[in-house]
Amino acid sequence: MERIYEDEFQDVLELKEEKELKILVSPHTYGNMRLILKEEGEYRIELAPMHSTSIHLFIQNKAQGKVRLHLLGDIQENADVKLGLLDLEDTDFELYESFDLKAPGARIELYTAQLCQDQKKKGDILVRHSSPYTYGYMYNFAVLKDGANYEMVANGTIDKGAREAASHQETRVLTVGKEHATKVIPLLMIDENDVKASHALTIGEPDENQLYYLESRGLSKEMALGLLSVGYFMPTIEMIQEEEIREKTREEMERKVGVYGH
Amino acid sequence: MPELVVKDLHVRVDDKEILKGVDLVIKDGERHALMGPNGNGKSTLLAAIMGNPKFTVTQGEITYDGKDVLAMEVDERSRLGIFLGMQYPSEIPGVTNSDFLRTAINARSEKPISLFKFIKEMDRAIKELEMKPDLAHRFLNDGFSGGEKKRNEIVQMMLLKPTLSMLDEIDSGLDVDALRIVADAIQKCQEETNMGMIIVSHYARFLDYLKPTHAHVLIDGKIVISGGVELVDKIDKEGYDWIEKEYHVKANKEEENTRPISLGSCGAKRRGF
Repeated sequence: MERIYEDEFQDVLELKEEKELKILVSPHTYGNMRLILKEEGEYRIELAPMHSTSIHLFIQNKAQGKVRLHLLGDIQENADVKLGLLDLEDTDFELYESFDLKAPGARIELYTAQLCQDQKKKGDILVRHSSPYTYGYMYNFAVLKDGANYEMVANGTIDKGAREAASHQETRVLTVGKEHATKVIPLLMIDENDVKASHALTIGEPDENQLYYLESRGLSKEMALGLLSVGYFMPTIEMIQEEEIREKTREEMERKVGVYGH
Repeated sequence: MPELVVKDLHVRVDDKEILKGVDLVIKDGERHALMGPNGNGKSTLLAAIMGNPKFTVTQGEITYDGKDVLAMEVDERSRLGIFLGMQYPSEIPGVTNSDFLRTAINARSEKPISLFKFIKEMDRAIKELEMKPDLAHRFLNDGFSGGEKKRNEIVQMMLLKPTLSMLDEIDSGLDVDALRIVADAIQKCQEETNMGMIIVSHYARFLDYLKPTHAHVLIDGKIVISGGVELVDKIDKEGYDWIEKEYHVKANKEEENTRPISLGSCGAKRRGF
């Protein structure tokens, strides 16, 4: 399937049997798109934003079986892409993202927010800076419940000659259950001197003082852990443009992380 | 009428016994000032009543409204009506004040509070405490000044409407004007709810505003003298030395609390690199 957008757009797509999608965005076009992955299987989504475009793409996994998702694309001059992936499902999920910032002014912000329980969530994300004055940001958030297995490799690569490129990444993993495994590998591969790059990483349990504070206001432990988890999902959920859908998605997330108790 | 009864309470922290037999009764509508030099057990008593897991009760009992408080989890104690305004409230980035408070209100009622009613009550509390209007949308105590944190504790108290409120040095970090604002809000809240109160404070001015009905002095883990507001006045003028001499007790001179230092989140900024 191929979608071509011009000028201004707002679109919602549910992907079921058709699992390949190419999104072509014409120069000077801006808009947003919400994609829902409805069925298990292997998806391939290719983004092709031409120069001077601005795109917000929000993807939510709703499949009740294992999903493997490939996201890739070349980002052209002064194109600005913001892409969020929300995965609250109790199923295996593999994510492979590869984006190339091809021309000056190209910019991408990638968000993932995943709730993991008793299944494997694996991510492998690459943002390549092959041109000067390019900007790449990767934010990965995960909340791990009992038996979760989370793996994330985030790679910011700056090629020779990509001067004044900025590559930053942040991964936050909150563990609220037992017997979980986490592996996070932040990579910065830099072959140019005049650049800015950073990574930040935290993996850990909630602070016991914070838990006590919330419990002292009447929240059960489950509700307190749920509330502490909310902040891990909101940056991604806030990418949803439609207010009603955003609130529904937020409620779904709050219910699944335990904010409402039993 | 709910009544807090503390009998022969002994509490340890790690291997050290802090409370060595405390007896106390608080009834509805009463305001008890709890005084004493630092490091002698005031905050420990309040934390033990609230159920802070760092404190171990080794002997004695606490009941509230006839119910065994020591058998309850922290959240159950809160839902029973007990509130602790903390000396060092936790900072919780990622959780907004409004999300937190709505969840806390809903945790203690069968029917969720309507958004309209919640906003109305929150706005009222914010105005009374003269806080910035964006409080609801800010992360819980994150980046708050010392005074803002203390006012936020009172905002929470006003919205949660406890029947027993314990305020642990809620006046520290407040300037003179803020002291008056906070004291007025506490008074108003008590007039509306008739809650019982325990107030830990070192400042006579704050206690002047709040006019305690009872006063107690806690030294070396025991309440050595109790009285009325005249006791507050005497301590303000003469200190605690006369109590040590008259009652043959020796105050523990250790610092009661070491202020926790927040390192905040990881050093990398999320934006504006």
